[in-house]
Amino acid sequence: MLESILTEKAIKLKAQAKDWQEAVRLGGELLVNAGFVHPAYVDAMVETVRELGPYSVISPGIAMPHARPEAGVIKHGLSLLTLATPVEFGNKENDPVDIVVSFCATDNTSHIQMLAELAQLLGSEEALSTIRNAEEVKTVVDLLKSFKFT
Amino acid sequence: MSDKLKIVAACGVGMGSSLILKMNIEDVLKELKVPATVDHSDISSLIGTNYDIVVVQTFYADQVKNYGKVVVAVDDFLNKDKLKEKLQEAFKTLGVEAQ
Repeated sequence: MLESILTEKAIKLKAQAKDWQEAVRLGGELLVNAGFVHPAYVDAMVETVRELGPYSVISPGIAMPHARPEAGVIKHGLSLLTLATPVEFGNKENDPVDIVVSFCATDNTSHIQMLAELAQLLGSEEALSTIRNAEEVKTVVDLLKSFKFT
Repeated sequence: MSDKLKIVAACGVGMGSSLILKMNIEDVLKELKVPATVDHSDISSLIGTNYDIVVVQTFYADQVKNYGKVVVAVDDFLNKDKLKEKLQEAFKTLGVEAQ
């Protein structure tokens, strides 16, 4: 399932961002590119991270910014952004961040399978290291195709 | 204890990290053979609830202390081993048997 959502259009590697806001915007723009959200959703993502603080950094180096379903979601989806230079989100345990997984969902339940697979992927140190070091989008696409989701 | 434990995973919006956390908690419960129900929620919707265990990110720990008997604070939502350790401590506090 994840490989059908996280397609080339939704992946950008080794990008440059000067701060968390720019990183969140870049991640959100990938969601727009892939047809998952309207552009307004990207503004809502930045606002949500600002409003709720650094909660979106879920693991060392990994942020998962998102906004609420009513903020302009077309269908549930994900994007993957890696940063050439990590940025601070203000989460002292898990900063700095170099992997930004942006997501959107239309309600509170339809995206469960998608997040379950994402958690498996990000929970694998091997997969994480492949993603972190990948220079080409194809490397990540191939990883998604070969990864054994349970 | 005859009733199932009631656990909730909570985060700011209640649809992203709390959902991932819920799935990881369920995996740990299966492994430890502890029967429990696991909900996920946003922090503000917890008002008025009373769970056995509330699992949140560390900086929410203070905010949620009235909504559960035990608050488990985690920093890394993807680290199941750490989560397991912390849940085992919580079970001990509550007097729940775990394997």
